[in-house]
This record gives sequence, C-alpha cells and structure tokens, in this order.
Amino acid sequence: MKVLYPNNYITVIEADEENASYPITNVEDNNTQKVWKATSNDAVVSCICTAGATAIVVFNTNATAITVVTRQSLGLDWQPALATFGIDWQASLATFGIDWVEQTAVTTTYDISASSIGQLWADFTTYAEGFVVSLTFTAAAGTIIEAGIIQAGIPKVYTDPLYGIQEGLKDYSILKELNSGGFYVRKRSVARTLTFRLLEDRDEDFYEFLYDVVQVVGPGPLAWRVVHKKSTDWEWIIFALFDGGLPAGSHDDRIFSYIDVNLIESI
Amino acid sequence: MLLVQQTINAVVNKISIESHNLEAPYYNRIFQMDSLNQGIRKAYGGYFKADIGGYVLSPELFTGDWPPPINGAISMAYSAITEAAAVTFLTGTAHRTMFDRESVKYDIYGDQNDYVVPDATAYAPNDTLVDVFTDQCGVAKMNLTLDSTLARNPSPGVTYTTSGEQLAVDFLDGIAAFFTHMFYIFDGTLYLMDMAANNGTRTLTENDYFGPVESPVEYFNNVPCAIAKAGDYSAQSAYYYGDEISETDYTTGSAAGVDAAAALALIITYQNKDRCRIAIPFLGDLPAPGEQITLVDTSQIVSTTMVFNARIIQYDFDNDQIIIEGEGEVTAT
Repeated sequence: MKVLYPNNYITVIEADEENASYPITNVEDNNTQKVWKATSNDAVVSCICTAGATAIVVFNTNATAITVVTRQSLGLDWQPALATFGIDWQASLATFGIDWVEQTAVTTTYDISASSIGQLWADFTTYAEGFVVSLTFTAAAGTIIEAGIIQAGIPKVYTDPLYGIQEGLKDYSILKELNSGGFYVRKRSVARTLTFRLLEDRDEDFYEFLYDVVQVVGPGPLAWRVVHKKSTDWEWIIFALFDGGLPAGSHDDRIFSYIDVNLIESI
Repeated sequence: MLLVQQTINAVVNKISIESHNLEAPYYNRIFQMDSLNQGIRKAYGGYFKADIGGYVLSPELFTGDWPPPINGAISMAYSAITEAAAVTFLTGTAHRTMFDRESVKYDIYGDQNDYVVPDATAYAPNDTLVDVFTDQCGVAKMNLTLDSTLARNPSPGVTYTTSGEQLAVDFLDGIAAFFTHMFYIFDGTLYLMDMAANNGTRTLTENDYFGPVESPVEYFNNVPCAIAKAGDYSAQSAYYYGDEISETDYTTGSAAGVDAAAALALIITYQNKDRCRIAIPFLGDLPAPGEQITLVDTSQIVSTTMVFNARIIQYDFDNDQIIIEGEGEVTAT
C-alpha cells in the first residue's frame, strides 16, 4: 500500500490551455469537483517539482491516456555563484563555447481508459535538484480535458492490506416513490468506500503511519494506492479521507501490529 | 439545479447545494437551505409574495473575507440544463444571522418595493381595478411595468379613498384580494391576474408527482365561509356554520352595494373551493403562479381528478421537491 504524503512538492503548475472559468490552479484544491478545464482533447500540464518527489497523482479526469515526462530544465546551465555568474564557458580548447546541459527526459505513457474512474498514479525516479513533470492528457475527439486533483510528493510505502478488503459504494442519489408506484431517481455522486486491515512492523511502519501521516493529516483527504504489490489496477487508487474516525491499531504481536482503516472517496 | 449568486464584498460568488461545472462553476458551498415559500395569504387573492428563511453556508466561502460580511446581494435561479437557461426566481439581500467555526448562516430577504401611498388617495367614480394598479405602478410611484393581460375584463369598478399612509404593496394586496385577483412582481413587472385565469396549464400523470409514502397528495378544505362582510354589505354562503370574513369595501358609494355584493360572493366561492397539495420533482419548467394543474390520482379508493390553480409554491431544495397548493375542483374521474 502506498499513501502520498508529503504531497506538496509541486511549486508551480501551468497548463498550455485552460478555460478562464476553470484555471489550472483549481487542481491544487482538495475538492475533486473543482476542476481545471482545457479547451480541447489534448493538453499539457507542467509541474515544477521540488527535488525528492517520486510520484504524481491525478484524480477526476476524463482523459483516457496521460503521458508523464520527467526532466530537469533543458537549456543553458546558468551558474548561481558569484564566481561564475553568467553562462558557463568551457575552458579547454576542445569544448570552447557555451556549456549546454542537456538532461535526458524520461517518458512513460499510461493508458487509463480501462477504468472509467479517471485517475492516475505515476511513480518515477527523482532528481537531485528541482525538476519538471509534464503531463500530456489525451481523450477522444470532442472531449474537453479536465482534471480535479494533481499532487506530487513522496509516497510512504507499506505492506499491502490483508486478504478480506471490503469495497463498496456510498450513494448520495435521491430516490423517492411516485404516485404511480414507480420511482423518481436523481443520480448524484456515488462515493467509493474501502475497508481493510494492515499488518505492519510496529517500530517503524505502524508508528510512522499512525503518527507521521494520520495524526498530522487528520481526516484527510489523501491519495492512496491501496494495493501496489500484487495488483497495479487503477481501481486500487483512490483520493479518500478516513470514514467514521481515524484509524486505530492493536498490538497483538511482539513485533507486528494491526491497523484498521476505513476510507471513503472524497467527492 | 439551484444556482445562487451571492455578492461578498463586491465579488459575485456562484454557489449551490451541489457542485455544478457549467459555463462557470457553482461550488457546493450551501450546507443547508430553508424552503422558499411563495404564495398568497388569503384563499381568494392578494399579493403572491416570496418568503424564505435562510441558508447555511460553508465557512470556506469566506476565507478571504473573514469575518463574513453582514449582508450582500443575492439572486437565486433554477435550471435543468445550463447556466444560460437558468430562470431567476428570487432577488434580494442575504443578512448574516450567526457564524461559528463550522457554518455561516444568512437570512434571506426578497426585494421590497417601498413606495408609500399617501393619505386620502382617491379612486372614483369611473376607476377600475386595473386603473388603480396602473396608477400605483407609475414611474413616480412603484416604478413597475404592469401586465394586466390576465386581469378580469371588464375590470371591476373601484370607489375608494385611502385612509392613512400604507405601503403600496399592502394596499394592492388588500384591493386585489377583495376583487379576487392575485398579483406577483418579477423582474420589474407586476403581473395582475384574475383568480379565474390560468397562467399556463399542465397535466400531471402519476409518474410526475410524489406519493403516497414520500409526500401523499392531500385534498382538503378551508374552514368554510358562512358570511362575508364589507362595510354595510354582506353575502352569505350555504355553510351557515362556518366563519366570517371581513374585508374593506373598495366599492364605497357604488349603486346599492351591487358591486360589493358581487365581490363578496366571489370571495365566498374561492374560500370554499376544494384545495389540493402535491409535491413534484424538480423536472421541466418551474410552476408559475396561478398555473392550472390537472392530475389524475388512482391511488384513492376511487380514481380522482383534481383541477386546481397554483397559489402557494414551496421550493424544498433539501428534499428535491416542489410543493404546490391551490384551490379548484375535485371529482371522481
């Protein structure tokens, strides 16, 4: 299981296109319904990230594929120190001229069309300095790309939950009986729910999860990849908060401890 | 869907009960909303007035404007599809009543026309009800456009001199009820209509209204009117055991009280009509004041038909229903 925390490694976010009423900064909000809207069916979002981030997540998007490109800034390597202010000239005859620093971009394309849930969890190798993550969203012709949440950070990694994960839905729709005996139905949001138990070693993972994540964040919401070792299905990814109170654990073993977690999708 | 625009420190905020990503976003900042009630106070006519309690908002709406401002302009609209198709049904002012760390509550006040009718304003001898409304809607008075398309024709004669100052809407409320007319004000226009007129029609099938578990259809009757009085004149009904209605006579001095008697007879008729209350979902067009509604109800022991006109309309957004009440005639189908 992975949980993205800390999750605030994006310092600047920009989009190559946006509807003026739905700016890209909307994705920094924890409200998944507060979306960024592009103006076409392909759009690029650029995230300048602090060094160290190893994952980026996207929630509530209608894209069918997202290409993730990580790179350090391409172009001239400006020297920051007084001694070398300016462009870094090479000293030896063999390389006289401007020192081009070309970084290798790492590109991965994720097909998220198999699930209609509209979310992405992408892990990548970080860089020693600040870097850029570009997300190229694509969808069928005629679709206007949108997304509700984009976060980058360092996932905390735990063992996958024990067998017996319970998965369900909480329905906020309205269902009322009509005079005919039929029903009036107004579909509203339906939230996913997940209930599971973790078995973690106490001295590290249990206390880290309980005190470095849960106690700090409170009810949430956070990005979760509930199962990551035995399955990489998109369905195990959820932007959720703790349902019915914060998780609690029990120390039933000399070294290991159980943690019971109830999640409800943040919508 | 409910679309609300509340002005907070000169900035218009678009909010709703749920989030709606329309041409512009309406965020789910309304936690709870009282029902919006619109209707006439008397069964036989008057001012179809909006009356709403208030609503509870998320403090998140005010993070840049803390503490929440004491008041702000508000408009409420409804649309089934798009923002462009939204129909505004209320404009007014939201006035803060309380806030705590979890919520901010505002009461809502509809727009008020504050023109006051001077003492001893006289209408006679050839003025009609429409003439009175035309006069009061004048630019120097209420400054409204009058639409009397659905008023009675010929309009009943008025012979009356006001006594003391009073709000024009209150004066018109009384005189409209006396002559069994109703009126409502919307977007700068005052619509005057005969209680016998239909401001549009619709037929509801049993798939169009709720019941019997959720909101059973109610057929009921007012306490009957036994006698209606106005000044020196009166009219009696067949229900001698009923109550008395007393109205101001707006036909003072007309020939032998003939006009007063006719008006009082109509008051008795509307007071004693069958009444109905139903709840419908927010589908299609909103019901209009005075709209005639026909429904067949086979859930009764004998299939029942009710034809009535909407006189009280209650928008219950929290329960996703519109409650409509009015008078008409109930029969076996």
